[in-house]
Amino acid sequence: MNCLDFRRFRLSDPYSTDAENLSHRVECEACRGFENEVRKLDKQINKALTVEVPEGLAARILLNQSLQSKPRKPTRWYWLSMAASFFLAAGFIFYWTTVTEPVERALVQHLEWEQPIVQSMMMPVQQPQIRQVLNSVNLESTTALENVVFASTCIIDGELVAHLVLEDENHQFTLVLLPQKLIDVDKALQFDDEHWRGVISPDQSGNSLAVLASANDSASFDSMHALIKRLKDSVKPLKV
Amino acid sequence: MVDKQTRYENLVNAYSSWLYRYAYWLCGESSSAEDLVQETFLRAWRFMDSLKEESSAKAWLTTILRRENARKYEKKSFSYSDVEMDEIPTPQTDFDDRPEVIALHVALRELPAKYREPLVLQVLEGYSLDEIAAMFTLPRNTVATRLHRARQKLRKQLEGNDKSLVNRGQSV
Repeated sequence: MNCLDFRRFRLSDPYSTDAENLSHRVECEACRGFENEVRKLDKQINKALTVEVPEGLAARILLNQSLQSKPRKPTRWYWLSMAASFFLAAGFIFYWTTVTEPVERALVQHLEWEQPIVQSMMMPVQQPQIRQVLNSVNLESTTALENVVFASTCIIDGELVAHLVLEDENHQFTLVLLPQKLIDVDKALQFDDEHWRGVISPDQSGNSLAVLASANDSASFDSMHALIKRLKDSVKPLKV
Repeated sequence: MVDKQTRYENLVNAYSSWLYRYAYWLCGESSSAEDLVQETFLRAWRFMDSLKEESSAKAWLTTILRRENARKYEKKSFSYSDVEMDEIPTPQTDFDDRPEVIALHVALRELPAKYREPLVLQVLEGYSLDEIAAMFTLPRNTVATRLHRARQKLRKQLEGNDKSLVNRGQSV
């Protein structure tokens, strides 16, 4: 490491314990002086950044939260909506317990629950974040996954999974990558729920891949199978 | 097992001060900063169940705050020429008022947001380059370059201030 590299490095991370950096520091007196200068600047910056926090801030936050979550006096509409919710929930329970299979039920339940958060957080996701999410479930992609607008890890049925959303001009696909075989059959399972349609497919290495689209989206099952094939070609178990 | 309300109160007590300081440097004004922190904690309350690990709470809250700020910023795209002079708030004065601190305060305000934000996270809270890169979903090298440029700009600006003070002293 030369003096220029050292100084550049120190300006981005003055307290790094990088070995190469530390050894240059020992050898070069001028760079030691430079480092001290940068650290002095950081102390000044810290002092300038430390603005006073308004008194009672935490108490006001807690008060605000208690007011927001305080139950309101029930109105006629409240009781009507409660009754409607009850019948709707009963309908869903009947539907799920009689029509759908456990794997897709768990997936659909998770997506229904998380959809408002996902929608509010959608924005183009950079490759390092995608990599990080895949690595968290012991997977990696050999090619860059394009058009990803959401990437996060989630827990479905107690298992950590990668949850991604891909969006192109016409369709929005939800991908769920499970580092565990969820279904025993070797071929893909296709389902058509009231709110979601999708394909779940196990692969050779013991993973399950699910591609889903909202029932409002016109994406065909063929396009989902094609996407699963592409994913199987690029997403592999992480090599340690 | 700690209940949701207690978990929430612990988060507020542990992180509200830090979030306020960060919010202050994001929006540059104390009342907006407090609004932003209030909204962040309300959203956090709504989605408390999605916070699985307490150890990631700080990064989680920081991410919510950044998104809330982006949302507010999008909504508030008015022209400054529409603002009457008497509506402009008086400058913030609740900080150390020594000349060198004020000079640095001004220099920090003038720093472009993309340089200031990672600097605040690193200097004020000790976030590592990797943590900042994950939070901003940027490559590590990009964050390193921004931090390097931020400090370089501050050094230059402070050197300039020193010189102008010296020049003023000589002319008197």
